[in-house]
Amino acid sequence: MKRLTALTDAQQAEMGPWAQFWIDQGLSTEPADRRVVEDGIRRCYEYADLGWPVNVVWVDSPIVLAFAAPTAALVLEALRKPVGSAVGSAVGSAVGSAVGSAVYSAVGSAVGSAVGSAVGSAVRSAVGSAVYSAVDSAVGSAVGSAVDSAVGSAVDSAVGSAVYSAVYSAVGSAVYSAVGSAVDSAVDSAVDSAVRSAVDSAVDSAVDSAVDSAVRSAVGSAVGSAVGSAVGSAVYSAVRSAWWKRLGGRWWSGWLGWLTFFRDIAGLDLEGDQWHRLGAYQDANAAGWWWPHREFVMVCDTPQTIHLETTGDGRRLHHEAAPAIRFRDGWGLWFWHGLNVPSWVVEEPSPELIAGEQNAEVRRAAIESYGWDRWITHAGLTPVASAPDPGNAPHDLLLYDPPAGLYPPGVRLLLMTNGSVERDGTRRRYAETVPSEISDPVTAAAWRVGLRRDDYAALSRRT
Amino acid sequence: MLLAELAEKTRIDIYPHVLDAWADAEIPISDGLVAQGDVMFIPMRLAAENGVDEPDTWEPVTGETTLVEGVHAHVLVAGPGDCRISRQVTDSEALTIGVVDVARPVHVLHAEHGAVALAPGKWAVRRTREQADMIRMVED
Repeated sequence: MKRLTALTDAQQAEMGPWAQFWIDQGLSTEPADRRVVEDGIRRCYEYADLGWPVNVVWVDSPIVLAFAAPTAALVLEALRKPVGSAVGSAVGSAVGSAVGSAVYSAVGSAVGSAVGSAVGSAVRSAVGSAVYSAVDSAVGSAVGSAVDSAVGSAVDSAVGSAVYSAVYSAVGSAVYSAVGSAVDSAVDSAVDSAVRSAVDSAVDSAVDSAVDSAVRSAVGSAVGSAVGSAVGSAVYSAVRSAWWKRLGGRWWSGWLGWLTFFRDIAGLDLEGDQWHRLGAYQDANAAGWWWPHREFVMVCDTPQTIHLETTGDGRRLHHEAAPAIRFRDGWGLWFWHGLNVPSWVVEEPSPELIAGEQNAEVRRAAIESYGWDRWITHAGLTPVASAPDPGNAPHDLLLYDPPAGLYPPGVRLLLMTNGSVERDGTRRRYAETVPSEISDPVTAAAWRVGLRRDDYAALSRRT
Repeated sequence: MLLAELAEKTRIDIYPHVLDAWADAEIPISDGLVAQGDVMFIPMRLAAENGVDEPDTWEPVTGETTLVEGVHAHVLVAGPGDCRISRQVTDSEALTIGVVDVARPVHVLHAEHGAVALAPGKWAVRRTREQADMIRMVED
């Protein structure tokens, strides 16, 4: 095998366009060619020495995948337990009522084809009071512990890491050992990092953390309260512990771009079937997230729209009036210059909603979305006083009174300017609440950190 | 020390535009009240006058220690023997998350706010509060 220790000028010139090609792939909203994707996944299973489950379930959004895939795995495990059908039904009903019909039908179809349509439809039809009576207090604890113990095995049956190591990292290490470090790092920065900052970190990690928080809150409250606590907590812990065992699809384009550069541009010769493995992985990742299991594969199709803004050092999700990313089932996420916010922040910000928002960053984004000057006017704020901000020249601290009823009684607003500059050269402003007995802006700023006015006035530096 | 050199040695990702803004400037060593976003570093003498009791139990800290969580954490970076911390602190205002006792200058890094260098001495680390129906911590 010939080791690659230098790139030709022509190959170096290809790095920029290659990165752009993979950025475009990663951000594409074209629906996936499902036949290609499924065949790629099947070949990945072969390379990982896993039996092909045949049953591929397509869903439209990552949130459905995050709930449905681990829950389907849990249901499949639970159905094998001694109290079989009761558990299956109980879990089935938890899914149905808690996370909606999209999740439920995805679970139903995964379970249905894996264990036979009779059981599948039994699970599906189990939603309702009949299930609750089967899972009454007498049966309840048995069911609960069976479901609890199924969580571990359900998670173990997720085979993402097997697929990953058989395909992704196998090819990666083959390429690493065949490429000199100078070439490696040149392509790494020109292709991998460029694609990563445009796709992987701009989109995948943003959706990832939004799904993570949706999982925490939705599973915690909806599932927990919708069903008996044993089943609820089993579903909760299955989803919590396993939703992320997915592979990234188009949003993990960074390393695919890096690997394929060596195959397609640099003409690197690798022994064995490494390039075939990469081909399988590339096809498998031509859609969205996918969640491989021994008995089914769940694949998410691409989003319908993605809106990004380009900043000096990368891209981030942003849209001023609509979800920055939206999927074909209607699920979407709202971002304000890269900050994940509730929909009202971009779609219908108002002084009332701004007043009720507890998170300082979300509130700041909402005021920006509404417009600072417009907000001050429409919220009906009355100036009380202003003063130079200690340690933060040339900015001022501004103290305002809100009109009665907008904020809790006894509150004034202190408007401040950030000590650090944003990447676009602007500075963020914040409006935070202070006690209304205070009528001096520096005293108000000092109160925020529990200091006396004169101590705070000596503040030497703010960043 | 320059921010870029410091960031290079840690696992903390500082935004590129912040690194650019700090490009050639040495991080000044603070010996008085200094703010980093919504966290305030208060010299112990001043903190004591404002309700913070000096702690008597300490633990050594080396490497990277998160002082305050958030969208972006405030992370203390210290070499062996540079400083120790107490997280059991009595504060009449209930704002102090810890007191740091610095022997040799240490840094606190933040993705958006760059770095603060703390001079030798004891520092109370306070979070920021808001007035609502009840007093609450500022969340980000």
